[in-house]
Amino acid sequence: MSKLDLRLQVGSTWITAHASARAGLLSRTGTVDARANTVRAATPTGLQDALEAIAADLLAHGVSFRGGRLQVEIGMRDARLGVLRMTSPDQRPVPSALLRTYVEGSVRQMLHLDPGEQVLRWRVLRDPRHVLVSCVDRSSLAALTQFAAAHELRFTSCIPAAMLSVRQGRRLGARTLLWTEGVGGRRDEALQVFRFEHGHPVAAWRGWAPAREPAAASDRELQEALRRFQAVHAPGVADEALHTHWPLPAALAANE
Amino acid sequence: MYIQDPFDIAPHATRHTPVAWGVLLAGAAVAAFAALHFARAWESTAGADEELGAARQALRAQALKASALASEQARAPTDAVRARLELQRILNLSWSGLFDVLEAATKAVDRRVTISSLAPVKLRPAGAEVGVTALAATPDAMLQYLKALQEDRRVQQVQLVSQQLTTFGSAQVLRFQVAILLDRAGAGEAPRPVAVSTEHLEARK
Repeated sequence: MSKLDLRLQVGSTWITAHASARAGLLSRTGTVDARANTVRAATPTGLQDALEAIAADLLAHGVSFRGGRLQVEIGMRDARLGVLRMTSPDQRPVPSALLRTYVEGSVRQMLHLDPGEQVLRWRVLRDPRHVLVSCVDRSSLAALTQFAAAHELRFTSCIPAAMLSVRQGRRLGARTLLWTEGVGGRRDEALQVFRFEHGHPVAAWRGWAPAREPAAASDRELQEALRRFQAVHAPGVADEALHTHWPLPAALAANE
Repeated sequence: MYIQDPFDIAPHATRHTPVAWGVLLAGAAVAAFAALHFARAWESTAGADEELGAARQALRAQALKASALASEQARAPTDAVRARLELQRILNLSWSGLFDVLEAATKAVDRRVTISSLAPVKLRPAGAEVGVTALAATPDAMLQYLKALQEDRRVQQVQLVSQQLTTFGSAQVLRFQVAILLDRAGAGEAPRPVAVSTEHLEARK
């Protein structure tokens, strides 16, 4: 019996969904392939309401959620990625308890978030002075978990969408990566830039630029943001930044 | 390598990579293999212990048997030595004292009793026991003879063992046997030979 895979992409003002059936042990790939998207209101219950609207839309298409898997990518409105740079006089690894303190402090000071309201994850990178830090809003995660429970879905994946850029950067060596989000041919105002060296992020910047078409070539604000970033974190480097717009092209094409 | 994605915060996110599961399975297989071999080695050791215990018991039983046999064999010479000493003492008995006792008793009955045979029976702690076979002319003579023996200070004990009326030639006589216990003075024992200690025979076991 085939099972359902429900992939959600939770943006700042939108949610897209793609439901597909995956092959079971004794069956071929199923025929369910439904997409839906909805607007997410900027209200405290905006996420829950948008999720239920998505569910109603898919159920209307005959999709059965029961026993399926829920996989979520969370956009920059609910998730943050940052690179913590530490200096240690003797270059020894920082103890884990102390590292947690540093991470929480950086979340508070640099991201201006309350660590208690975030689900924190971090990893010390190859260069032990750099730590990749992820923050996901607890209330957003709770809403998604509640949605999964209500529809008998197994919540098997939930990552900050910008991690897709980090994974991409691991394969590139030294490069600047630009991450933007938006649907319907538009770019959301939030953007993130990473500088990768030897496949690991050494710097990250999260900023804001007025909403524009996603094409980087004609996006002056984007180009300016990149120039400023490169000047600080990759001076003299002439490589062109790699731009990733999320949701990724396959999903974006379906929504258009 | 072993952690799927530390940044995946879903409640049911896969925590470990296939490589991690592979390492776990390989480790479990190695542990199962080691446990199996340990169990086999344990059984083998237990079996060896049993065999060793059985062998030890067999050796112990054999040793006990040999020891019992040795002690029996050691005892035999000891018993033989004792018997030889006893015989030696009996043979060393002085007969003159005995003859004096018997002669005195015979005189007391006016020789109406005749000794037909006598033989040493055994040596007792109190003295020497001698068996006497005699012929009495009359029952009165026999009784007087026995009384005379009893009254002799060299005699500790007199016991009539048997009596029988018998014909001796043309006359009827009373044939009787009596056990006489002579004291050591009466027995007139010769100096005892040097006692052979049997402890060293027992120590050889």
